[in-house]
Amino acid sequence: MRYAAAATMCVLSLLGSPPRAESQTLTPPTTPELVRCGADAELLCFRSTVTLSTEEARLVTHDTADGAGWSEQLGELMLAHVSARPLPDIAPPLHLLVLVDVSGSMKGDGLPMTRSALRSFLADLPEEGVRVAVAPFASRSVVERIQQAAFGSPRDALARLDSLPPPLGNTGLYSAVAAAVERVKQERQEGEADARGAVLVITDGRNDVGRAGDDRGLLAGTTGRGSVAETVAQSSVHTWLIGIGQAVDATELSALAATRGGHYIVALDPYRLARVLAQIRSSLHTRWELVSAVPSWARASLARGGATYTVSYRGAGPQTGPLTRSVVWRPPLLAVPAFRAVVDSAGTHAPAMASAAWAAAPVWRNLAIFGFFAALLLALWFGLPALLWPPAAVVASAPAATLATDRAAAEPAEMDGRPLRRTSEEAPPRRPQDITAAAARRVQRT
Amino acid sequence: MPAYYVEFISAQGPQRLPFTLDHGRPLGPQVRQILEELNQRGLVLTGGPDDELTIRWHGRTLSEAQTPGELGLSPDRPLELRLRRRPQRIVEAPVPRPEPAVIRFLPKGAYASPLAGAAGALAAWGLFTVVTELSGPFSSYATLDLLAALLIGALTAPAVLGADAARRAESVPRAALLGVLLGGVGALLGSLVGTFAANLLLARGDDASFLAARVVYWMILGAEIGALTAARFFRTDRRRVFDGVVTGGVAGALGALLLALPGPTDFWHAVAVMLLGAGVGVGACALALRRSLAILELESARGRRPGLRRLLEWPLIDGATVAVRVPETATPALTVQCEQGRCRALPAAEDGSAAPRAVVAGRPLTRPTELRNGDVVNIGPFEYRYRRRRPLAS
Repeated sequence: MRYAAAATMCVLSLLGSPPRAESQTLTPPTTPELVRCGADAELLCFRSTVTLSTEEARLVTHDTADGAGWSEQLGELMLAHVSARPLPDIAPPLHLLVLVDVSGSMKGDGLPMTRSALRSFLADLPEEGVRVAVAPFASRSVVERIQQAAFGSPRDALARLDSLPPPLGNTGLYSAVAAAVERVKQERQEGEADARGAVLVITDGRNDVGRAGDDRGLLAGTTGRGSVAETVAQSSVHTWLIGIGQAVDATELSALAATRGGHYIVALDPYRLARVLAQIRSSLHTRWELVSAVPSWARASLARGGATYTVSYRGAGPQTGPLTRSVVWRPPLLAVPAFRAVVDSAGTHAPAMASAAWAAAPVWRNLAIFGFFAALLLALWFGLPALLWPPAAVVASAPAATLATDRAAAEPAEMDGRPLRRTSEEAPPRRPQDITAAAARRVQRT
Repeated sequence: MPAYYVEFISAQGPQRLPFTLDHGRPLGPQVRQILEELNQRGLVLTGGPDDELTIRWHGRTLSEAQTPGELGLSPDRPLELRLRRRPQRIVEAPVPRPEPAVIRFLPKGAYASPLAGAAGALAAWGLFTVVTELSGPFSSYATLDLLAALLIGALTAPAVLGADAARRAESVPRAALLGVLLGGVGALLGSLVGTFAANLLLARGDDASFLAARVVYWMILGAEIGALTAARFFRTDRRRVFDGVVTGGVAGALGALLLALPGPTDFWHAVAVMLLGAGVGVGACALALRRSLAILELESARGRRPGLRRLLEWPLIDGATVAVRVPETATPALTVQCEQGRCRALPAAEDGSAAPRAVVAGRPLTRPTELRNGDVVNIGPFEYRYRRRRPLAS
């Protein structure tokens, strides 16, 4: 019964994943997996996934196909040939509200350029993990339009982008941002618990309300700006503000973005707007896959013990990094670590690994070790016993038995002064011609 | 010296040959010399090796201690040599000679059993290091550990038990199969319990906890395999199970520490696994041999000393009854019983088989005979030696 209970508990523990170490308050990287660097290679690579916050993701440049800026360490061992790529999925799920300025100042190239850039931006978003709403804003029905914005797939958002109203009215920027943040918070409350929220605002001017035809109660002035900035800062909704054209007030955008967001000011240039949107899209991808090479060819070298696996990122700019995550790498308790998968051989890893110096190390080492110990055991089995138990030692260790009979004690020990022969070894037998043959002849003669 | 005709029955039929006899010497030694000469000519009296020689002349049985002159023999009548059954007497034979001193020695089986365990473990290491991919049922390191443990258990235990069975002239395939079963069960239990205990320690999450978890895992695994392997002898020697737990556990813990050494880890890994196997072998067999009262060991077979491969060795403990067999023979040639620190040899039951009869210390074994340190037991062309490991209690 004891064994049965223990076995049940152990089966349960086998089914469950082992407990993982927490690293500070940040999300640690996933426990690194040992993978092959190429389909036909015995080269060892580690693969792990790092999840960054939206703020951290914004700092990580995406020009890191070769892993520039990333470094990995296993205990004291620096891993080599680090490559990093953002994972295509967006996790945790994101609710993104895109606010498009449709005030009268967007007439001309402003709205078409914005629509074109957003179309490209939305088309590149994954269908899974992100829900997007598109809402116009000017100075009329600002809050109502935003409240009515429906979240859907990026494909649905593309359709709504084409149905934006023509530019008209003034710019209720403060109220629009405040209403957008509230709308996203409301959407998050109705959705997944771990969902993120974000607002993307594209405008070509500063907050300009209070004229005839504008909604009543729209936020304005320093008070209104401060109120919106506080709303943004206190929310967990990331806010990007993109100002296009010359009429944008940088101070205003900076204040609105506050500490939880970012702002960009671009000229009325489709290329630059697209580039900014590409940066924002990249920062939506907070999960990065890192692959690095272990500078050893022996899998067993990783079995020595647990070690802290650390991932660091240090960008080029002064505000970028270092970002550090760590987790404990644990090899099997008994077996040799085995490969979990093969890194895409078409990627950048295999060529780099193939050129590594340790790639030329012999792979028959285990066979040699096996042969060595097998030979040692054979020597211990067949050779050493002859030294440990030599024939003389056995004889000397105990008295040799002598031939004895029940009647031996009755026999005289000697006769005529000569000892009697007791065994055949004590004296050679008489030759037949000595007695027997001669006697037989004598008998025959007589 | 007068010549007598000596009549006897050999395998070739009735024989009648002339021999001279000295009337001044006792008759017994002269007759035995005659028998030697006949033996050299290829003539052997019909009878068993434990039959008694009788010399008859003119219808009367002669005393071997007297001379022909004293017996009044004359050559006009032949001497008749006959072998007849010795009357069975179930009495304890007195031990006229003093017991030779006990000399400490290492039983060969105590050396061979850890080697066998290490060989089995090395084979397991060679197999599980071939597994390079996590796939199928072995998709995690926990299940990979389970696979490695099963291989170690299922190869170490049969190696130890198979070698032990070979040393005791028992069925090796049967012992090996039993070993696979016991070792596999031990490895399964050890791996499950070890994983559970290791996970408790790993919950701490630091680097040092991994070493502690590994030591605990290996210790539990070694103890379980050792215990289940030694459970083969549970009915005859229960202490072996305890030995298996202790030595298997200690060897496992040492192996786990060895694995953490710097340098070629794959080399240390092989050494660690072999150490665990050797520990199982020590616990299951070697300690029992060292603890035994005495050991009966094959010293020569057909004039040649057997190596470890052909070694026959029986550990004798109080209360044990060991049936001693010779190679190529199914029926035991004698039985050794040990009680109160003394062992005695009992002749095998008559079954009409052609198995050679045992000769203990030069005497045909026809009745229970106490074995003394250094006694040689001859069974056909096989020579065994009885060696005490502990002196007799006074």
